Amino acid sequence: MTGRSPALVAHPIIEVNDVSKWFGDKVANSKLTCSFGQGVTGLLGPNGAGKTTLLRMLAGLTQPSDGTITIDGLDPRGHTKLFERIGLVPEEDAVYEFLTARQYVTYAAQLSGLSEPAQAAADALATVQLAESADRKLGEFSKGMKQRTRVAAAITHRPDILILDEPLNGTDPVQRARLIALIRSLAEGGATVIVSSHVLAEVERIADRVLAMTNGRLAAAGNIEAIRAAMTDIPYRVRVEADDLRALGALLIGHPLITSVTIDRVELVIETNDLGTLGRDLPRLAIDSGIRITRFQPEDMSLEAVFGYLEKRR
Amino acid sequence: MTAFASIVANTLRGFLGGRRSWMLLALALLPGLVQLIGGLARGSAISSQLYEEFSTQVLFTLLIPAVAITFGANAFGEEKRGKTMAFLTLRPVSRWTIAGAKLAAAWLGASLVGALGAVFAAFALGVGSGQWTEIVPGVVGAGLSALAYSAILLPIGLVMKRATLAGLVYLLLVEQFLARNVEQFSNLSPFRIGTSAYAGLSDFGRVVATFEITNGAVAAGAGGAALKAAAVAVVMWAITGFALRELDLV
Amino acid sequence: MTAEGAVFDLGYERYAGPRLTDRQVFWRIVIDGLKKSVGIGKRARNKAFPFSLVALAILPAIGVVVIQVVAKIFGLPLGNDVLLNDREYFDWTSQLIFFFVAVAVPNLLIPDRVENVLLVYTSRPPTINTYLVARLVAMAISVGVFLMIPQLVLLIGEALISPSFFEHLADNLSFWWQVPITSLVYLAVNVGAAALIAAYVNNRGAAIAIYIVAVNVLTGVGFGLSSINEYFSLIALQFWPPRIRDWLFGVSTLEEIPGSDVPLVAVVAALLAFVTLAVLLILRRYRRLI
Repeated sequence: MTGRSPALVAHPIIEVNDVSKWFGDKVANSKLTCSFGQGVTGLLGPNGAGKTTLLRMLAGLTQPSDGTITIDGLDPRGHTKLFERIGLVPEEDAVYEFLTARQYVTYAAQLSGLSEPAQAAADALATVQLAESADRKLGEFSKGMKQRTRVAAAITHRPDILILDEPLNGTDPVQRARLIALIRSLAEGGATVIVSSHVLAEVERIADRVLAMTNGRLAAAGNIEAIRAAMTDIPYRVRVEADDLRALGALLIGHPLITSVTIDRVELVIETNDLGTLGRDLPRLAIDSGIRITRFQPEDMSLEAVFGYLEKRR
Repeated sequence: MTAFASIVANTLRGFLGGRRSWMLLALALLPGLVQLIGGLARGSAISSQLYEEFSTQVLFTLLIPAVAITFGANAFGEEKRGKTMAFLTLRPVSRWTIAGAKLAAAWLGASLVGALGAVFAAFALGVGSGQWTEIVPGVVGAGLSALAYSAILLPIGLVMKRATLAGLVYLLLVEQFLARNVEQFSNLSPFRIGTSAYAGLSDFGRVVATFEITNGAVAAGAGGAALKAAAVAVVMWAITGFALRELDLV
Repeated sequence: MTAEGAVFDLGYERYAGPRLTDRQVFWRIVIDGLKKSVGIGKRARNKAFPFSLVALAILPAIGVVVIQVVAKIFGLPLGNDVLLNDREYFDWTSQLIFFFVAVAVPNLLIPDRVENVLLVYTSRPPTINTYLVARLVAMAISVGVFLMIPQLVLLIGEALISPSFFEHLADNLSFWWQVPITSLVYLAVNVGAAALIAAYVNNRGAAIAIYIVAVNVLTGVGFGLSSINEYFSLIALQFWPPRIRDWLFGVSTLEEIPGSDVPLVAVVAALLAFVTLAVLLILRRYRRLI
């Protein structure tokens, strides 16, 4: 491969350079090099992959044991002014339970130095559809409502860098859809948004770009299709339905593009390393042999399938 | 409202809000109440005796240290336990401001409780025996003692899970044992900072005499006590600010 | 199976192996409580405080025995007032169990409640009463052992250096009722107060501080108000155990303490009323939670 690594972006806002983090003899992150720019980057990985540790370092909550992290060239731990631009929703389900939602978000606005914190808090609460519950104590809130309050506190100062650690935890499907729309709209407005999740479908819906982590290391980077395409050692699996499965199977065995062919009841399961060429060649082959193909379905383009492969490779 | 003021206000809301405020109020007023009842029932001699032997002792050896230790230890301890450190620290507010605001909140909270107790006890003394001179010494002594205790516990609460327990062990081991027996320790004793300030300002000979025995090598005087308390506060504020900058905050 | 849906037999079987009886479950919770109260199974720093107190409780007893051995070997005379006897020893251990209880009881009760573990206990056969009784039994055993071990060291040590081991034990038969009953009284007052506070306060540090402050303030209030009426001295619950102890040992050492003229029956009544009230309030709190 030549040129820039897919872990790096063309116009980086946040740069992670050879960063490792360990706690005693436990390594949480190992030699990570990546960058983040405008748009939504999904940080994907199973629990314990090191996502939260990386996000905490990006936000300046913890410092790397080795390597450097910069935001617009500055170390976030030494430049608190940078926090005017950063909003964080940490993973922990933590709020000041003795405050109302309005007091909590207003407190966030005051700490961010806003000139009209009450108005900013009201706007942020309205954005997450909590205006009507704003004067209830947070201790009385459901998990999803607390989560939305924390998102409101993170966006009240309109940050251009938003770090969200498992932001959809505890939300119901309607709230989730709204939060995803909100995250997307912030990104479309020019913000750099980093969203971590272990739920693949969530990341697939939110992110333009994915950094996949396993065991504290970067396992893959890029958009989903590009990551899949880069995994040349793992064949694509395609399900094909046709009027004469046996004839089509016999035709494909020994074909240079095909690594395996299996008949599975009413369909043919084909594995290939070159999905694009197969997609072009197969219809022609079928027509030439008088076989009618009724369905051609690559089954593993989903992030889940990609991540399944990455997990197996670690 | 500035960031400093809003941290102070919200920390105080956590310390003094809800049922806790009633409990602290009851604790603060209890010595004065006992003294008031004693004075009204048995006359001025009993009122003075209760002020000397009971109220000032309970306030300065127990109530103010315990409240200041709890508030000092929990100023950051509650944030760490509640996992809200990120909310507080990922703001465009310097770590020194955060440390200063937390110290101010712990001090103000503990001083409020201590001073309320001291004022009410001094008021009860005035009602019971006509001696109305002890309000200022009580408030100053309570404020300085609370400042020293809460400042010492502030960084401990940031780095230790059981800071309140550590503070209480300190109170019992250093204050009650070491400082009572070893002169060098008595000069570092926050408890004696409060009582020496009180003794320096008070006109009530019996209490002054009692405190001078307790204070040992520590001379009575509000100026020296205020300087010591301020020095302790500055050092502890600096340590806390430094720790906030250098330590992992989760 | 219906036309619309089916549940297939995947071979799932209900657990059919042996189960603990209710009594065994109860003792498992007691043992868990005992371990927690002294930090067994936790990091060394969790053990430091309770074990230091236990060491402090036992060391003087060993010291007393050693002094007696040395005095016997070298034929040195020992006055009765030189050494601590079993009654006086309570003055020392009661100070220590005050702090032991201050830390152990909140550790035992508060995390289960704050971390929502109570439901794990009560979703199984044990009820909330089983849980509470087991926790209090655990505390009673650890405090009881704490109070009794130094006394036993003292008794057995003295018996070993006496001319006749068994004769010494026979001469001190009263030990076997005086010391346990006195221990029980100290236990009831300290654990009762600490458990009552720990049942209503969710922050461990605050619970410790409130217990220490409350017991001491009540002592001050009781003694302060005793100048009005000596029955007010009953507010000083810290002084109930030594009053009952002195009666059990047939001595009178508290004449200088305010309220020493209050009849013993009033002290015992106050103790029983306090323990009953504490139990009722703790039960009320936990029944509202579950």
